[in-house]
Amino acid sequence: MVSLKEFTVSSPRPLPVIVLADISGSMAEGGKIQALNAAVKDMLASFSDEEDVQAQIHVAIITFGRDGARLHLPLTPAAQAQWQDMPADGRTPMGAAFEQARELVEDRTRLPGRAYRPTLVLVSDGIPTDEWKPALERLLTSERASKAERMALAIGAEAENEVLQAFVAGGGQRVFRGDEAREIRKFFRFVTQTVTRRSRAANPNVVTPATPTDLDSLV
Amino acid sequence: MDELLEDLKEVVDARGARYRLGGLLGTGGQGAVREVAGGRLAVKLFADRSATRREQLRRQLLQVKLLPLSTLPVARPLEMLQPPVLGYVMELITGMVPLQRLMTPPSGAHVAEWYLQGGGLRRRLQLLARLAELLARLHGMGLVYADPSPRNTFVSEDVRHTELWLIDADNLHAASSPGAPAFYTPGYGAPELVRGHGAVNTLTDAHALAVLVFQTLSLLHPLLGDAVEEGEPELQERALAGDEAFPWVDHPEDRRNPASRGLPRELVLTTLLRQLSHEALGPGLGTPSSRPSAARWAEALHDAAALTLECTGCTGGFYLNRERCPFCDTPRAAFVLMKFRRWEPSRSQAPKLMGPHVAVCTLPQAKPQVLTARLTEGDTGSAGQRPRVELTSDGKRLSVRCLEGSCIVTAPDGGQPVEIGDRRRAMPFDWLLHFGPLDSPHRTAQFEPFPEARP
Repeated sequence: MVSLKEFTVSSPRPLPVIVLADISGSMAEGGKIQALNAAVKDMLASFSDEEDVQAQIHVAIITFGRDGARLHLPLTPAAQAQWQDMPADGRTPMGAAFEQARELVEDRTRLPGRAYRPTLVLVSDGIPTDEWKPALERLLTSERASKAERMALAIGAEAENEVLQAFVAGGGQRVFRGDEAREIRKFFRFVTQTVTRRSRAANPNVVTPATPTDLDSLV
Repeated sequence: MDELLEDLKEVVDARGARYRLGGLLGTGGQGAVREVAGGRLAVKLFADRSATRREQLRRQLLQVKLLPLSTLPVARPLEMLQPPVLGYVMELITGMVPLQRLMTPPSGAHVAEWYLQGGGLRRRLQLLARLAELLARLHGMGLVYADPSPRNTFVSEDVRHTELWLIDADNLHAASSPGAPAFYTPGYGAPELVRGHGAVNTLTDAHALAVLVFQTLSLLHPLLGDAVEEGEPELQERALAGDEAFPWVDHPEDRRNPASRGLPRELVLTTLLRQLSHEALGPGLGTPSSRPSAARWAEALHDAAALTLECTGCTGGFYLNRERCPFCDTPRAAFVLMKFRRWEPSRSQAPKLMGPHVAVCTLPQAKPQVLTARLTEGDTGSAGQRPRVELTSDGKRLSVRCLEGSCIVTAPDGGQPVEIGDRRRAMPFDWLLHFGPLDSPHRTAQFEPFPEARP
């Protein structure tokens, strides 16, 4: 066999998906954390099946719970992500998670300038236990996060709608509500489809708002 | 209600026929194309399901059905789908994949290896020649295809074949129709469309064709230089809108947007293809009338394909002026150069060969090569695809047989002409092959053997 020369071609632009996941103690009830782990794992598997030419989906997971806000999964191409289940324990330091998200989105070494607009996904079942307002304000006024597509899932009546509403405001999406663990998976199927649709679209930088009924039609 | 087009499992057409949907063939600005389970059919589904769009599509399909498309490789629309879905069923030839597959290697692939697996340079030139020819024929009928793109151009999956089809026939519009739309696939829309100045026409088709040709051959988008590729997505949008700050990557004078990626252009483009690329993407970017027509592209692409040789090392194609295969460095094998010239009989003088050659073609050693009527008669379009003569060189002489009609060979000393039919006959390299009777004008072929290049 002859040896062939090397040529380089341009690589697809990253399409970042950043999940802010509530892993406070209350998530341990009713199988919610198990559902969340399974849902995120499914989403990663679907993303890694996507071989598109112009966009490559990258995923980061920021958790907030007992140890404060942590980068559970650094921003990684979905196909290369190594998944570890998240434990549920502790309080709901959502403000710290907003701060982490802002740092990640604005950091051009981690999220290069050529990346498409990120998608920010927030899942929570409770009321933030830290100062969330200034952190969210900073996130939403930062240069790149303000242009991001934002989606949120409120689990149960406890979830503070005001916070999630403020999170999605101006991001083209509404707050989705779910009362049970299984709705976590439904929501992540919706996130998966919205993102893959965007990665396959002719211009992945355009964020297309979805209609509220989308969630039910998936079942 | 707004179920994702990728998720629909079944659709029903206007006559009540049900179709189970299979894989996704492509997505674009307007919606998605899905395979119908069982093959042979596909459905195009639109994201916009408004009543206005439905009426517009209905009228458009009625018009398209009246067009004489039966002899063209265009997937014809069959039936509209029932609400709530908006779309239509179309024919699909099985074993076809989007041209996209030949334009972007999967991440991590060895680029040269992947390029060769797709049929290499020669097959890409042949497929693009077919695309240009098809657009030229549509333009000749007074039609505009409107949205040439890597996702609605389908090519044979089997790399031994070079079939090409266009889908999305609802795109077809009369060239002068006042209601022509202004849609495009990002990356392939002419700058005037992207900027919202005007509707589709043959010149916007010509822009998309130029981009498709350049990108399929070099694996590089002609407007996306390094600065654009490495910059924010917004820079890409500006470059694709024809922003003057981003001249095309190979602009000879304006070097503000060069590209280090892609295959070296001298490996994949002939001088003429580089010239047409510049006409289309240099001056033609802002001045649509400067863009070369699809017919000119078709000729240049066919000519380029005829100038390639197959490498005996890696089987890739390369242009005959290279002494080594640019992909694997194997020295060029012995081959015969065929030059086609006009033969003009005259009452007052002896008949003679007129002018310079009108076409050239390569003939590899020990491998039969079929000459089509495009070379032997100068025919174009589907007439030009007729197999006419089969030639084989053993390195010392030629063997010839006709696949259609007959031809005549004459010796350089003017001896008795010999007629060749469907039985194989040998002839020396220095004889002249005539594709018509000696007393009427026709094309001839001259042969010039080249030895193997020095290792």
